[in-house]
Amino acid sequence: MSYTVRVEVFEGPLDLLLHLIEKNKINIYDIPIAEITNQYLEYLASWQQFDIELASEFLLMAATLMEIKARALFPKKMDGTGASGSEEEEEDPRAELVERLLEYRRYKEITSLFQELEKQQALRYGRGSYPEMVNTGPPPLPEDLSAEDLYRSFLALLEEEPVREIALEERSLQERLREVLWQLGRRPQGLTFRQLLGGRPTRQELVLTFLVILELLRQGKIRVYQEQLFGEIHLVLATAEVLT
Amino acid sequence: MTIAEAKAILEALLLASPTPLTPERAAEILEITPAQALELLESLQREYQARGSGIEIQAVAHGFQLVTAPRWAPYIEKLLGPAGTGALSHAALETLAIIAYRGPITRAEIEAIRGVRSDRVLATLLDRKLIREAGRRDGPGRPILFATSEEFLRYFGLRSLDDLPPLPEKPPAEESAGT
Repeated sequence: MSYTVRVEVFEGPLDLLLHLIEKNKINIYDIPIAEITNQYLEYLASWQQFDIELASEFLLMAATLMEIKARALFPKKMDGTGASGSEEEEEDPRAELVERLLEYRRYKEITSLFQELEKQQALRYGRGSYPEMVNTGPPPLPEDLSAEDLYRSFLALLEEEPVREIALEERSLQERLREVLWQLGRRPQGLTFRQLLGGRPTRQELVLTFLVILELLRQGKIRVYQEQLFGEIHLVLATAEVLT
Repeated sequence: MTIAEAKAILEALLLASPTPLTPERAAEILEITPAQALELLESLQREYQARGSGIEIQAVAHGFQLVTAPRWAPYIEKLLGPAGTGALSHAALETLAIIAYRGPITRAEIEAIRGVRSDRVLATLLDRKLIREAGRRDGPGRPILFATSEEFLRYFGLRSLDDLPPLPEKPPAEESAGT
């Protein structure tokens, strides 16, 4: 018997909060922050139970909620600025969050419209609905650009920035080839490509070593095999295999 | 060129055009004015409709395209198999909605509204050509601006962004009516 666990999917912490607000039929301008924070944290806890990896955004929101909760508990006006401390200046610690929720909800609501449009349009088949009819030419240029614009800006770039030479580390293929042969010679059982490279190869070393392997293969001096696709590359001296 | 001929040519252009045919482009080809081209395209559209054709001329993405009539979709599916391109995820639709209404907009601004990282969903949308890069915002880092594309209009069957209804308003703050 198998059973399924229904997990509501939320796009993010704002989505989850809106869900809680709706579920509890709460006035969004007057969120009981302690209650909502508890429910929010319960959700996170239940997800962790199911080993669902939590996006960091959910945790950030949890921290924000707890901060708002803490601020709401503070006695009003702690600062000693005196005269300006009138009642109406008091800012609701929830205000910013409410603003974000309201803004997010506008887009969340309109999303269903796009879903509907998508569904409707999917019923209309036309050019481009058939993969083989998709234009395979070069990708179109951005609307307000022409090939000439690109050409001109390329020319301008050339004038601006003279072509520079990048210094190449002096290490020849021959040198590396001898090294690899020597290393393999000491290990009749062979080496993996990774072992050959050692701890942290530079990109150049990586490329050089790979070229060396190709060259040695061409010369028939080594044999190379992989146990699985994208697995480790094993290298053995061709002569070593003959000997054993 | 008679009107009947012009319409026949337009019909042929509609079939051959890989992207929605704009009245401007049609006018260029037929050497008539865009207004004339628009009138002819619309009259052609009405003819298809009146005749109950299996094909309709849809006004979409600033132009016109030939598509099969939606009511016959089940038969097309029998022919081609179930709809090809997968529907967009909720995250993708949500992000598109934000870009459609607020674009050109930067990734950071989108993320501020959604409250979640959006780099991957943006990559998907770029990949499907539903959005495009629309320059950069002046300021620190000169972030890339994203806007919806012509393909976006086509994908959702919209003539232009003006076809979209206004965003839902925020509800009035009932309890703060005290002032």
